[in-house]
Amino acid sequence: MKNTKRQTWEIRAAGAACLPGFALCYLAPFCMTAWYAFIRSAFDHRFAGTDNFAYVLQNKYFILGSGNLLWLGGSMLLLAFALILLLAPLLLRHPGIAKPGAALLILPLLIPSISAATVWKMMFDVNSVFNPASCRVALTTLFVWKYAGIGAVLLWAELQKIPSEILDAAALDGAGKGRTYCFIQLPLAGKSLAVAGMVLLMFLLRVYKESYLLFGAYPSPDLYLLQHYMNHQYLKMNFQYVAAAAVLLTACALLLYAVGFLLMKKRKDAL
Amino acid sequence: MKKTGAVILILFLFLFALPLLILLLSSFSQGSMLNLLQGKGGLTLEQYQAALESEEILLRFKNSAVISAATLTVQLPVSLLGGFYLVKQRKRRAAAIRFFLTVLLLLPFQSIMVPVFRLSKWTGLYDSQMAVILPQAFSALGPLAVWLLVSSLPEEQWEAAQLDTASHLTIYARVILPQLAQGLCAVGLLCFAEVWNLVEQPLILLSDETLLPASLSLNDLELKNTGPYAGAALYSAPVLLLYAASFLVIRPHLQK
Repeated sequence: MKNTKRQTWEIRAAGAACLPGFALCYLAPFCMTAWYAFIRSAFDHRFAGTDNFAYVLQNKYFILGSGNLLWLGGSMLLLAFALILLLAPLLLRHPGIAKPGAALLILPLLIPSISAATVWKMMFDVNSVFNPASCRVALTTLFVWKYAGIGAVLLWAELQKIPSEILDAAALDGAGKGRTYCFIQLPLAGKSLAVAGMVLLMFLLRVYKESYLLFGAYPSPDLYLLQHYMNHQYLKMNFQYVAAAAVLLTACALLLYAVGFLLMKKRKDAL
Repeated sequence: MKKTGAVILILFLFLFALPLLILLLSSFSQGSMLNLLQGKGGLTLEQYQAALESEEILLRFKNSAVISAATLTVQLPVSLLGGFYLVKQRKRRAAAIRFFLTVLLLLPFQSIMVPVFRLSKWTGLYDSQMAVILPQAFSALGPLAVWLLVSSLPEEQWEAAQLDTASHLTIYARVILPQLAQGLCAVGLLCFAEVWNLVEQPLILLSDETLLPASLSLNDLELKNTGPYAGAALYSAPVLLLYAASFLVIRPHLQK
């Protein structure tokens, strides 16, 4: 249905009320980050080509931070995903417990990180220099506790939508519960899985918050993340290196999100 | 088999609740919960008393409240209008804006940290709470969540309501939003939880310690001879209360 003049005006007015804010607070900074990555420094705006990228890619702390983010973050993601895959079918099979259970699983997401960190500091030795293993466990468990629950609830909600006829037909064909879950329910809930994966990835990229609250701004090399590198370069006023690292991180994140979106689209087309 | 599954599920749910129980018990103990378990002293309100008497803690709580209230005052109307714009704008343009907002939502704050700092310096907002409030008020979370909710309703509802009024905004306010009240409550709660939990933005944009919110600096505050748990528990209380309210009060009321 074509919009009337009044309706067009209303849409434009709504856009005018919010779009300038987004543009000023996010679009402009986003473009400025890209610009900063190609200049010599915050005080020397001459074009630097790819020098900043070459510098950060060879910097040992950038490599250390990226490696830790990859391995520590990867293990966090895998653990959280495993828990999601375990909890969602359990919720589905026990509808009596499922609703209060789902409410409880969402709760950690809402709890302020500072409150959670206070508890984790009591439960674990968070001295990252003397006990890095304990610190890794602390950060991983905090991440899984805080963010796996919402993923499990998302997947559980999607699993509930699968018609029971499909599951009955699978049972008639002799498929056990495990096989039905792995080969029928999970593929059908692929969109939710991809969404849960992207949500986890989003929180993983923001895990600096938890890390900072647990170990402070200067953790040991075992817990040094890419975000620490960026914050430290920022404090040294090396804005061009922060921007170059941000562009690289953004490119990697977008690549991963694009894979997620493609998987979701492929699933949608297949269905 | 089903019983085993139920036991495993309850065990996991207990593990999810455990940190909160520890926090609560610790806040009522002398020092930490370990002292309570070892029989060193019983339940006490000592920590709460110390926290509520601490001017520093109260100041940080006030800062958090000011930042959250000011942010939500702008963020909630902006989210509603942004959601409306994304639903009603031409499909291609709306899709492009949605893509951009999604990208912004997914990226960490470090990606835009330097320009946000420079912009706050240029505009003179650096080291004022407005520097934290303004970007958060235009967070992509709200409009995208509202768009998701509104787009879940069939287009026929808009078309049917158009027989009574030509105004899209009237239909949006009187027909569409009331149906989504529960979802909108959840969006509001998420927005509040996000702003109540800010760490990176105040860390970069506020250097004056008296302006810092409790979400960043609660653990730095030393309380004489008491633990930090009451402060942490008190800081979780508003989110928990709102969450409980959304289940116990708002939902049945809305269903009427």
